[in-house]
Amino acid sequence: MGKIMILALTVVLLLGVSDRAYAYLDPATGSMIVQAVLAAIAAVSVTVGVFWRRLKDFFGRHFGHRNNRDEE
Amino acid sequence: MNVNAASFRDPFGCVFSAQGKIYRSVFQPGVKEFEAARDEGIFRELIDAGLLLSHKEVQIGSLAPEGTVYCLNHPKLPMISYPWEWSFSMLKDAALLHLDIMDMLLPRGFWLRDANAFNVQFDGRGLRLIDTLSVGRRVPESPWVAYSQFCSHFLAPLALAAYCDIRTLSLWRNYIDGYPLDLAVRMLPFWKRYRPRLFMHLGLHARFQDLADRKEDMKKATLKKMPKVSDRGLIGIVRSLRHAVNGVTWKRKSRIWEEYKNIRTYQTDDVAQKSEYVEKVVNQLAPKIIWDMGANTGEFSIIAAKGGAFVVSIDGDAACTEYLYQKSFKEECLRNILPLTMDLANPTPPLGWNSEERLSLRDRAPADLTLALALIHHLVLSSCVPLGYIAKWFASISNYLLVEFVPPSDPMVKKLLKNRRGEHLPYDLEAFRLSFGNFFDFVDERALNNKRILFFCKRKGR
Repeated sequence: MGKIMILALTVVLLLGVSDRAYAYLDPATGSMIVQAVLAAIAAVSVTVGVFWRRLKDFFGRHFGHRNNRDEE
Repeated sequence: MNVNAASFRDPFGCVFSAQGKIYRSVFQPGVKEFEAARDEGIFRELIDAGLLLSHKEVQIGSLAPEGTVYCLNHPKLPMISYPWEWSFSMLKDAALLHLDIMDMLLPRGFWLRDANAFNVQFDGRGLRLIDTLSVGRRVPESPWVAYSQFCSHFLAPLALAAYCDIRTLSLWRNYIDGYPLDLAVRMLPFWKRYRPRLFMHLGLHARFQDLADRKEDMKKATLKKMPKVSDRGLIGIVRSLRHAVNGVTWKRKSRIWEEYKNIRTYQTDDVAQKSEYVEKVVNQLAPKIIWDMGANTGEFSIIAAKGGAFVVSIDGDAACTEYLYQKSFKEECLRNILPLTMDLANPTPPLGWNSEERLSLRDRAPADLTLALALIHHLVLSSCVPLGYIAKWFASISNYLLVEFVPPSDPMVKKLLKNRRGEHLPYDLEAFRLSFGNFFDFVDERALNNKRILFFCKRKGR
């Protein structure tokens, strides 16, 4: 747990900061920080996901359709 | 003009009623956000997608509260309900509704300013976000302001209900601003706390909240500026929340009432007789709103709903409510049923600020017709509520009542009295007629073959 917290805090420090958002709810400081950590992880996974889809599309285009054509 | 007692938190606007209609005021602080969403066609899109309660911009002059810049007219909801009354899947669907809206808004540069379970209501066809002013422009690079609220209003209650006990949903009655995350984490079984997404959004989240609070308490200011979250990062968080919510599943264990059809002591022709009479009363009265109290799995709610009325189907067993929710939401023709979980011997009291913010069950009355089928023997003999109290309570919530009297000789009553040695509150036909006769006029009655009697009653002085 301790190691995860240190890693998470390090990620936060590397992320930088922006101006305070207007909100009638108290967004809670801890919730803001944890989002920065999760967003960093999520952004990487979204990027990997996009890359993976493109890769699949690429191979799909070049190899996948042949079967369909054969069927036609 | 009456400002809704639950509508005071948001400086952007408030809900009020006037001349029997429901309106929303947009005040000056909310004007820019409202105009932005309206002019971008966001409201139209959300309403067309069935995600947001519809509205019409109107001008009603002095009927609106002071400071009103825009006034919106909403359709009236047939029944307000609260998360502690919802079935597990209804709370889950309310969570997913928020995430669906976020998915739609984020690419357009908008988001939800809050993620409040009370902002989701059933409008007679499906779940809708009812708070139009929750939609606002996304603050660039900001974390989601409603993230903490989403976790404590949806993810924590769902995880506890699924993995600790379904009855923990009643914690809502105490924590009406959402479950404290540290409490939720502590109540989760140890091995569930470390499921990756629950750990991130609940465990790690609670720990960060705790650390930040402690630092702030010690006057060591943690942040002068807010951490940045990119658009892609926020989309990722919403996606992760969706996986987390979808991953929480409650393995509903069949309890006795869910299997009642198989174990009940009376025969199919008795059920048919009863169904036929319920149908006859519903057709004759043509009520708009029916409350089916002690509905079990909603067998008679379904019959009542087929007449076109909006049926609120209330039972104390969360498994029954879940069963009916899944059944009614799958079938288009049963969409007018709202299943709610409630112990009728302890119905929802008024809660929240000044005990006015969340309405008691009685404050949401009256129903045009209330069904109390095979219910009152449980209230008298299991919950120890005298017949006179029960009659008075029904008179406070219903205009018409269809009540079933189950005689003391009935096997179900005998079962309830098995260990009582005669020590119980008065329960016989005479006492029933006397108690209910004080508050209702008996319009009609029908004796069933199994000696049970159905009474169709009209509240006195109506």
